[in-house]
Amino acid sequence: MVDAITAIGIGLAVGLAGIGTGLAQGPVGAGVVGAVAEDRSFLGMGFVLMAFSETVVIFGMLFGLLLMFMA
Amino acid sequence: MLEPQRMDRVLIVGTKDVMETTINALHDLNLLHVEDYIAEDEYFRIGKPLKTATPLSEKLLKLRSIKSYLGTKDVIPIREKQDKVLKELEANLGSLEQTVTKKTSEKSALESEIKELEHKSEVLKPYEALGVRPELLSGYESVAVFTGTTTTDIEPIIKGITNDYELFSAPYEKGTVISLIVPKDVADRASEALMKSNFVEAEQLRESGEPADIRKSLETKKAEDEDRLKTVNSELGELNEKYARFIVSSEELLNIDTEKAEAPLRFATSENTFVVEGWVPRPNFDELKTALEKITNDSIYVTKIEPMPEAYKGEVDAALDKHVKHHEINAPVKYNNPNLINPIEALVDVFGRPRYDEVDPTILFAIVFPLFYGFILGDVAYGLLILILTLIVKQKLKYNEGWQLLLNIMIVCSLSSIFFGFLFGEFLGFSMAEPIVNGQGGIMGIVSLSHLYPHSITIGPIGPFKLPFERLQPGGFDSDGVYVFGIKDLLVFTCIVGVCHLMLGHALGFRNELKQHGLKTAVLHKVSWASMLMGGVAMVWYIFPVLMTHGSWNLFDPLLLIGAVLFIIGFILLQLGEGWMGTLELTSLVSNVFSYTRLLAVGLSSVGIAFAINTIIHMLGGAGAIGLIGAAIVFLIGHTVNLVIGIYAPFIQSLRLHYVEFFQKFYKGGGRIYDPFGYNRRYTED
Repeated sequence: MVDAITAIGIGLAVGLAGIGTGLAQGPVGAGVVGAVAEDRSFLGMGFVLMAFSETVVIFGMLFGLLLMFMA
Repeated sequence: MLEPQRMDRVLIVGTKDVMETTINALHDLNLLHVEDYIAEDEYFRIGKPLKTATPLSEKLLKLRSIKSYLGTKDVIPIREKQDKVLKELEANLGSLEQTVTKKTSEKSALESEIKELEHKSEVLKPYEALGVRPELLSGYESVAVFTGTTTTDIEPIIKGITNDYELFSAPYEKGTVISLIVPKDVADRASEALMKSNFVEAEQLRESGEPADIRKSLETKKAEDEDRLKTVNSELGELNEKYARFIVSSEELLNIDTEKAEAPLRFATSENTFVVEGWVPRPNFDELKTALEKITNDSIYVTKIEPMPEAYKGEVDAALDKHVKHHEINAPVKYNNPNLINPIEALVDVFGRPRYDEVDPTILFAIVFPLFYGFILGDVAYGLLILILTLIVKQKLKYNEGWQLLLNIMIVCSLSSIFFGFLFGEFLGFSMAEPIVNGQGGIMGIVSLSHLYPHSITIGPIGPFKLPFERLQPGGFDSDGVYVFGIKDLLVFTCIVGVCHLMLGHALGFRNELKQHGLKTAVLHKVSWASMLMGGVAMVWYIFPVLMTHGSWNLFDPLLLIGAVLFIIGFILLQLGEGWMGTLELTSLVSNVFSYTRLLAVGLSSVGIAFAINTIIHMLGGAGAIGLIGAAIVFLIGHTVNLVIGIYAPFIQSLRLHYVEFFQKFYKGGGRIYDPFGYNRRYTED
């Protein structure tokens, strides 16, 4: 279905994007948990803040899928 | 339904002689959201609490301390008569407080004594190892005694200081316990030498006698104390059981009376009159007016007043942004939805209560959220399991309102998962639409529902295609020329869902801006984005296939041209509305739409895990008896873990799509919660 170099490409796209998201989301998550512990009404806003960095991994996955089926 | 309950601003004016009657009536009606009076002036001051307030708060304080000592839980299904509770309150509160205080102070004394005894038996250990009576190791005039533990052999060191010494030692834990006796005049040098050889001095013990006897007496005392503590705890438990009904019901009554007694603190009062301002749901205004006038024999004035529009806190300052006009009304917000979707209100509240003049998205949330959940999970077996689990937990947590709300949401979500499970033909990751061939395929090669799935469907111009949609196949035409929808198609489908959801968000945003800030702001801030989004979609719709097929470009293709024009119009409107800062946000057009591909991606990972588990089971199953046991274990653990992930991941992901992508287009939240002056009684009745 896919040749080796494409498979490696897919792995890199998803993996590196995942690492990037992880690096970004870690400190944000810690901050959000702290804020929510202080005041529960921050929960919704916290969700939004957490989500900003999450988009990166979705891009990774998307390019992975594109590579898989369209390369 | 799409907007919160309309409210009327109400002004109530009366003379002070009917104030208490009015308070009682207002509290019983439980309708008026009171606006606290804060701006004192020459004539009007903040009211003083009723005379009963102080004794009531004292009683409430006593009751709450009893409640916390006894650990009384709030979830007791009872309804007590108010008069009975009041009588009991007079009779019981004082004596109950005394008993509870006595018992709890005895309890804490016992607990600290047990701790002390445990500490002593720890201190006793080195003396036990030495076998020396502790009182013999202190209190001398001419010699100094050092007792403690060390890890080095200290005899040679002491010999270097003096030959006139006595040393007892015994192995203790990882080192030795020693007792060194030297003359007073070399005590300092001995002490210094000891400190250098890791010597840790043992704590002195006040007890006297043989160590074994001391231990025995410590243990007897501790056992006695523990027995007594057990008795005291069970007595407290009995008290709790006996008085729990009394405690929760009288707390409720006291809460009600205290609220009433402190109500004037929220009113404006002059020498002879009082004024209450607040909000009441529009359909209830007449009820409030009639009830108050009747109970006070028409000696009260109740009227509606026109609320003043004002900018919400943190809103764009009109002076800075000239085209923004503010028409906002900051009334408290009460949902106005059918009971069926009440649980979803809790999810909207997590983000923030809608503002008064904002769209209430609950109904849209209630429709789309379960669909997203089901699309992501999309497995009949997991859906059924979640449904059964939910029903069991619902029965167990009958009295927990928060859980009941969440579980009601889960029921709808699990039904949606079962529906999408059929569409995807998935059952525990097995493809149930696959026919069984040579004991393979279907659900574990045992059951197949392939006959239920049509092989060729045509709906209007779409078709012929077949069911189920394949989440693990690329898709395409099969050997019969019938189209199979696969990952590629579902990926495009999720993007289309995203565009529709976002456009709905922009439409609602337009309505909000129109209501709060007028047509110009609505066009500049919302039509701009919607136009760019549609333009972008049209352009991608043309460009993408050309790129994929390496086809030739036609720059005058109508689709491309319309797309470009829409995009440019949107962009110009954006520049007029938000300035160059808006340009920075352009990437969100792409990321927002792509974000919806998670609908497929998260589901794929769940099917992927299930598929992997099933493959391992299949491999193990062929390896004899041990293999079968292994297969059973992998099956149980694997699918349990996947189910747990399957419960929360789709929940979080669809919640996120709503909160981040959808809500950002129109929803600000942060409205004031409608909290009427009154009490929802749970334990008492008149």
